[in-house]
Amino acid sequence: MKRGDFVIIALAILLALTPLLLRPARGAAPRAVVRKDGEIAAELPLDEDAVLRLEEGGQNVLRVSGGAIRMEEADCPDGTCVRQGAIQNPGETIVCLPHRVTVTIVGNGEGTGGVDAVVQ
Amino acid sequence: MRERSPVRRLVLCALLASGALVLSYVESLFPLPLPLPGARLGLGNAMVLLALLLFGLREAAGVLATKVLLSALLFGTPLSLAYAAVGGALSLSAMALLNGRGSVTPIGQSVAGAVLHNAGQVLVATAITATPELLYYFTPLGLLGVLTGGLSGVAAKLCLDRLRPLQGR
Repeated sequence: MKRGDFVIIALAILLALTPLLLRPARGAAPRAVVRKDGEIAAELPLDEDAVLRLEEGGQNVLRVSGGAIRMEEADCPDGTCVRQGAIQNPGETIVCLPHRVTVTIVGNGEGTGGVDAVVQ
Repeated sequence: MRERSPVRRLVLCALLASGALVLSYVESLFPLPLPLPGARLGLGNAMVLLALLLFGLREAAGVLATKVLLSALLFGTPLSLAYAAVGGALSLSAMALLNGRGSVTPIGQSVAGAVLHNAGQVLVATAITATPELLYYFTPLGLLGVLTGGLSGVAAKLCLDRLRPLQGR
């Protein structure tokens, strides 16, 4: 390893850390924003236990409990969304790429724009 | 360093491409035991780096394109093709820019390539899902990429030392 390698490694670590500068401050009562194909499918407050089923184009079952949300079931081929476990802090995200579903935690006071929320 | 015989160069590139394809496939059979989707050792990329080191950008791009297209056809989906193509192109650009510089070894090239590959993956995922928060995912993925990129750089360096003697013959 030469000097240039260490410079590259330092720059790479700095680059990887840049998104942290953008991370929002923790809100009081965060909620989960569920997107399907880029459209907001639902917004779930994390302080109320709930189950959300997305059936269209592949099944995903999301469960809110104990102030956190997790992907309980999914019939996608890789199942990585289920393995990502529970999330609860603003900025954390669960992704199910095969079904193009994402779940993002946002803090209170952060708008996602006017939306039609559907919660089952 | 330029290979004298074009046939020889073509055959070596084909071997590197098939090596990259097999390594990517074997890697996909053993996912890293981490809750980080998209995190991989990236040994296939070591083959692209080898092509760059032994021959040049044109040959490396050929190996990369072969690997990306064939692995998408054989094991992937149109989506995985998008990730691999954008990530691979960014990664190869970074490695090529650093190529032939005295102060950088293949390890540094590989680290730069890996992190840029991760950046490409995250950017494509962000674009496809229209979820800007996915950009935060670049932090754990990129940090791990520094490590795995370094490891596959070491692998490329070891192969390079053994393949150099073949070149002159």
